[in-house]
Amino acid sequence: MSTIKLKFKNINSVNNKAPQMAVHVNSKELYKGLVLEQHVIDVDLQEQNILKIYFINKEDPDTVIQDGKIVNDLNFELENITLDKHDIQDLIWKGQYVSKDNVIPSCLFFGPRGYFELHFEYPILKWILKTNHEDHNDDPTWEQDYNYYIEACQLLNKIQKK
Amino acid sequence: MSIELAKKVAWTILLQKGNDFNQTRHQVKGFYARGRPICDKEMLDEVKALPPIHTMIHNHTMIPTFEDKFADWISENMFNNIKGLENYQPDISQGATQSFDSFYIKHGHKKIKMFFGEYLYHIVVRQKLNMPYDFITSYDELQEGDALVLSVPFCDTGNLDFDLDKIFKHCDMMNIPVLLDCAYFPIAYNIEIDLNYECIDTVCFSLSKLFPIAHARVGMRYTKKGFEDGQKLHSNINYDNRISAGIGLHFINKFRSDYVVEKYILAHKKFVKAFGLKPSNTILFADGDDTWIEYGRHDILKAYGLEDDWKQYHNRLCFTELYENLSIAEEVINVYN
Repeated sequence: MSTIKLKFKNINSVNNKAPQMAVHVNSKELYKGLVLEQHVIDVDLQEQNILKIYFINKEDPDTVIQDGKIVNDLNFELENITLDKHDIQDLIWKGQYVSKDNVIPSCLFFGPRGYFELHFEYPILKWILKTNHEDHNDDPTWEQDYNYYIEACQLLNKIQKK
Repeated sequence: MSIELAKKVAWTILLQKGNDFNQTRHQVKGFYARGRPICDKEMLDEVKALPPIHTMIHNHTMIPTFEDKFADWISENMFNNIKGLENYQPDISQGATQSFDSFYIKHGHKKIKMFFGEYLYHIVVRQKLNMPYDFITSYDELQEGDALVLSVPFCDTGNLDFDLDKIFKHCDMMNIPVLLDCAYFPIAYNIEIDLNYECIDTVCFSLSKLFPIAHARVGMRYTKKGFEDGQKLHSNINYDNRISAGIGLHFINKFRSDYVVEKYILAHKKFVKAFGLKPSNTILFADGDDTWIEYGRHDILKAYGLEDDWKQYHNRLCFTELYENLSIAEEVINVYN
């Protein structure tokens, strides 16, 4: 069992209506309800995974416009994702926001009705290291060090079980 | 495989300490690089059992008691032999370092010479103060007007790398004063030093590599009888640091000068063999071939701005972390062997 920790900020209500979301991993709904500052969700992960966070209760009247300007809006922002204790940091920007009319890459803002989508792999650490190296080409020993890490963890588990 | 094994041991120990992947990865390269004392339970317990400061600071006999006791304590080492210490007079020193500074002052007009691999402090100080120094590869490069700084065991390897008799005879002949830095003496074995040479000006010891009290800066300097300088003046008027003397005295009362070597010498041999290293006479250290470059002191040399010379240095590896985590280190080695 793995855990997904989601942090949100700037959660804006309109007329006593608070934003609500549904969190899905690999098409399985894991949470449905109010958007809070932090959610910790247990999940069974596969080698390839898709996280989707749906903005489920946004309606047209939730955007209040006066003189052509938005003065009030039901919205929120995704701030951070931690998968199995690993803060994915900049890889959060690999996500995209899909709404009715648009696919916005690297968007953490939940404005229109739609969903945030992130593809990631398990094991998480391996995916983080690999993806960062693919993006920046600055960590050639990532795999070697990852293997030391895994081997040492396995050895420690074995020793502790003795 | 040997360096692979050393890396696996380092990863396992660092993770066992509670570090995460990134912290471990960051610390692995320095795991074998430093040279610091072993902080084991028995010695740390004595740190906790140190006498209260007021009993040290107001004890007027603290300094002479420590100075008197030190010579016997260091001479009774069953792994090493030092001859002629009785011909020198002791002064407590703030680590070995204060003795270095006193030597620089006394021989301020001379050019300091040292072998490649000598303690980096000398190099950095000479550079910063724009004072003359040079490296040598053989003692016959020493000439009149020089002063020699020499660590025995040698800083870069922990071994007795030179023919001391030839060096001292040459220095006697050329009137070259010698500072013998014996900081590693109590953590070494099979070291023979004869101090019965005219050229030996200063001999200094430190407890900083032996006991987990490095920050108390406990050292002892020996100079020829009758010599006077600032350091000696404060010793004469009983105006030295009684806290570091008290801490030093507590430790030499509790532990023999060969305690650490006796305790860890078998583990030292085991690690040297398992990692395919060249043994050192100093049990904190071993010498790695070129495959170990990134695990030696390269980064430290770089930090001191000495990276141009790094090929002149050995890949000195330090086992302190292994001794402090002995059971897990041995367990990892047993798994892979």
